[in-house]
Amino acid sequence: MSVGSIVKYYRMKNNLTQGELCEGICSISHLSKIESNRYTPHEETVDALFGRMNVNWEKEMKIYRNWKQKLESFIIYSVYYDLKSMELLYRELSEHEAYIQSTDLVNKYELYKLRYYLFKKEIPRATQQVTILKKLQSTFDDYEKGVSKVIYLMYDIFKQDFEKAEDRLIGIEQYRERIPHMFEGELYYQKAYLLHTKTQYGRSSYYAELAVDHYLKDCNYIRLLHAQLLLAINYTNRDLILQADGLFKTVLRNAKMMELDELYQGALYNYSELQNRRGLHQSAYELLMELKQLIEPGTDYYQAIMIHLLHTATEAKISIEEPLRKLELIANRKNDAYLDVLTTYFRKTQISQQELLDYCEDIAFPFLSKHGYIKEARSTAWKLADYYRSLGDKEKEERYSLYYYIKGDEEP
Amino acid sequence: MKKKMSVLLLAAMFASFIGTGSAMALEPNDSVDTFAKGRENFAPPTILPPQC
Repeated sequence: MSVGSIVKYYRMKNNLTQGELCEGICSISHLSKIESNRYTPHEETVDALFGRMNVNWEKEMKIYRNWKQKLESFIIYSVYYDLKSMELLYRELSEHEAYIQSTDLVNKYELYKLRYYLFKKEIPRATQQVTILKKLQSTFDDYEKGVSKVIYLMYDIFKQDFEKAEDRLIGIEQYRERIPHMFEGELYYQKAYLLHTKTQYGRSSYYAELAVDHYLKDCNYIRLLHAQLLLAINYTNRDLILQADGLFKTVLRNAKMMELDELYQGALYNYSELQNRRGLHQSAYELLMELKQLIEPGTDYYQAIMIHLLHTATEAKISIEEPLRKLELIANRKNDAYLDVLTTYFRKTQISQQELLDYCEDIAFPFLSKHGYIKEARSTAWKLADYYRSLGDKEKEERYSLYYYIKGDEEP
Repeated sequence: MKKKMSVLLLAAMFASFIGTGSAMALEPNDSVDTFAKGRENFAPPTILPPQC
């Protein structure tokens, strides 16, 4: 540890000037060098300086070691996704922030504070923390530099600043920058996440697989389940039914045992999407009904479930009246254009096929493609292409099927 | 002579396995025909595991 920083911390605490502290012990310039850690002082000098401030050096070392250990635990909690312990320890650390900031633990503390804010999804505080870290950046050692790259990447993706995140990734790859072993899994996971949001499911699966391998070897079981769920979702999108099915079952089983409620719900939701894709609509419907019981009405999650339920019930040929009515109410209250298009679409499915197709062509498809609802626009394009194929209208069929294929998994 | 023959045989066996990779291993069959039917309607929103 750096003695100088501790000397300075206690000098400031005791309201002493440098001159007052060093009088008769050493020169002011000497003390100033000690405080800025440019010079390692003799034991006698240190004893004399601390003696003047009534500080016991041995006791001081104990205090330092205690906080160092606590900070290490904080880091381990964050890597292994132990949110509860992290919260408790954060409270304790932040109460003694001034002390930690005066020691050489400051960089690690500030870095993992940013990680903590990302956990808590506190964007303003995270942004503020990034500015603080920028000032400290020049004092980072190799380990801290490596960690900061992964945490900044997480921050960029969290803020949906995907271009910046990609640049950061290119930087990490191009210069073969060293990333601490503990963070490799996280890097793969973030990469898989980023590629998934860009609908590059093939490449996203590749990195999710690497993340799964890494987390498994590292016995990082909670993060492993996150990576497995992401992988299963990617498999679903690529129609790798068997692999996805196996993974969903694993995630559901383990999330339940480990009492990770949110993860269990996420797995239920996505598993029902897989069941829909393979035509097992009844099973998908049952999964969603189980999920509906677990979620509080009024949340965004509940709304997503209602939308999913609507799709599933239509496919399973079960009455859609209840979810449709609920969604119409939400759409009216929120004045949400997307929900409006969606509910009208499903209302039309109840009237006639012709009216539905007209609605798709005149309103739904233009709206969805214009506002970037790629997945939804593709499925309406598919429907319209199918319709024009049956009519023998080659030109229109081509236009819609082209949209469907071009906007698909855009991979080389 | 016997030794030479067995070396030759081994070499031939080795050559015949080149390029098969792990084809002999039991792997999940990912070439199954899928019958995705979820394209009839809109796609429901995506819900992903926590990013950070």
